[in-house]
Amino acid sequence: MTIAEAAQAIRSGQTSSVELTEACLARIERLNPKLNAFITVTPEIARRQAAQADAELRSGLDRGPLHGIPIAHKDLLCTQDVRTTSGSKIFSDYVPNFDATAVERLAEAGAVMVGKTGLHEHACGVTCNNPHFGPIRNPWDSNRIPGGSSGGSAVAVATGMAIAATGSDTGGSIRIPAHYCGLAGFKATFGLVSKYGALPLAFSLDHVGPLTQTIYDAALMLDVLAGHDPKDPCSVRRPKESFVPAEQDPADVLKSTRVLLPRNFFFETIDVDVKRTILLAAQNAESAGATFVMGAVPDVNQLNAVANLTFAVEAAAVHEPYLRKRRASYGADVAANVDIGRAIPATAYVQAQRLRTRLQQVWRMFLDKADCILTPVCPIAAPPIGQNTVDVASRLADVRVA
Amino acid sequence: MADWTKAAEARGIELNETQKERLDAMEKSVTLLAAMIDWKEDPCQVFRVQEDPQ
Repeated sequence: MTIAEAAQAIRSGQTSSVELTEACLARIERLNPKLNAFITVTPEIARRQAAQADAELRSGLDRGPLHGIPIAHKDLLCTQDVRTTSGSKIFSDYVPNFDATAVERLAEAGAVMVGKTGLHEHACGVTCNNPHFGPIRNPWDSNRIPGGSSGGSAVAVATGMAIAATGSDTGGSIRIPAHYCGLAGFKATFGLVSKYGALPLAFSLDHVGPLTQTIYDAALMLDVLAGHDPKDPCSVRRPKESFVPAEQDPADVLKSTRVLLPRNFFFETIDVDVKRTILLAAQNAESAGATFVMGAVPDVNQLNAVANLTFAVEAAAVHEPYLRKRRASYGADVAANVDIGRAIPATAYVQAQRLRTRLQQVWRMFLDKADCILTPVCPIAAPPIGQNTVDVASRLADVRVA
Repeated sequence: MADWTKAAEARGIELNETQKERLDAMEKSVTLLAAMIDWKEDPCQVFRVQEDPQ
């Protein structure tokens, strides 16, 4: 059931928040031992919040589409009196005394928290093969990864253990698990959603956002999450707007949309099934009225080079003090990433930021040519757990960068 | 051995072969991309607050 469907069902009396919450908790009990989506389940909080949501609706207080909807939070968003591990040994006993802004806003909108979902350690990776809490498993094939780092959130939503979930994205951590688990994931413009209370990875690249079953649900959730937050220095002030399309018929939305299908990079080395799926989506969008243009995008390898360097240095800046004292508490892959960041000279980081500004100018000019660009998130479907390399169109690639 | 790897080793940062390869690749990329930097531009622009496009 989607957020939109559940919201309607609650208001029509077909179900209640308590019933939906109990259904999610029952699914968690049944599926979580196998899929390992949750690090912490919070049944007492969920039942209390659900009962309150139902009572409020009965009394005429309606907080909007999220009111009474059971959701899960990625376990790097701070939750008051509920431990927040970041999927790590370092924070395995950390119990914050405050809520992250995203958690606070969703609670104010009436959402019900069923638990905290697992992730790649410190959100620093894409496999969710977590050395401290065990591997998270893809619900479509439990021998495969769900993608990461927000893998637990994706698995929770894909299986109905929660109707929606929060995630965070630094270099693909919402989009990749959405791709591997068949969901909608949205990484919004930097500064639109507050990251106050999200344990940092790379502070100029971190984003908080929704993982949902549909794009429409992602828009409903973004309406709650977006907005200026004085507690986050990166938060932007912009007029409040709704991201939910006014048009009910997708064709009305797509009729005036100009979509660019890149000729280069994204379709050069790609699994044939993934390519077919994207081209089918393009065909459907075109049939619904979208206008497609083929074109070359600016060099994506340049973006990746600057992003990877920025990511490595900022992650090292965050983790170096912990790594010095407690190296043995880090998984090998995360420690290796942090060490690379430590080895990069400060001048290279500054030059990368100058290049970043230059590349932003290039891409801004390019994006004037279309309303959106249609690309695959990853060139492959979910690889098996523990496999480090994958075959992409007869070429071997590292799972982390494929 | 590239400069960054040498400098890292001099600072006592232990890197395995895979890490060295990744670091070397980053160094090469950034060295090549440096041609895109406008050297006449004030480097302080990095810290300029981006205007809200809206």
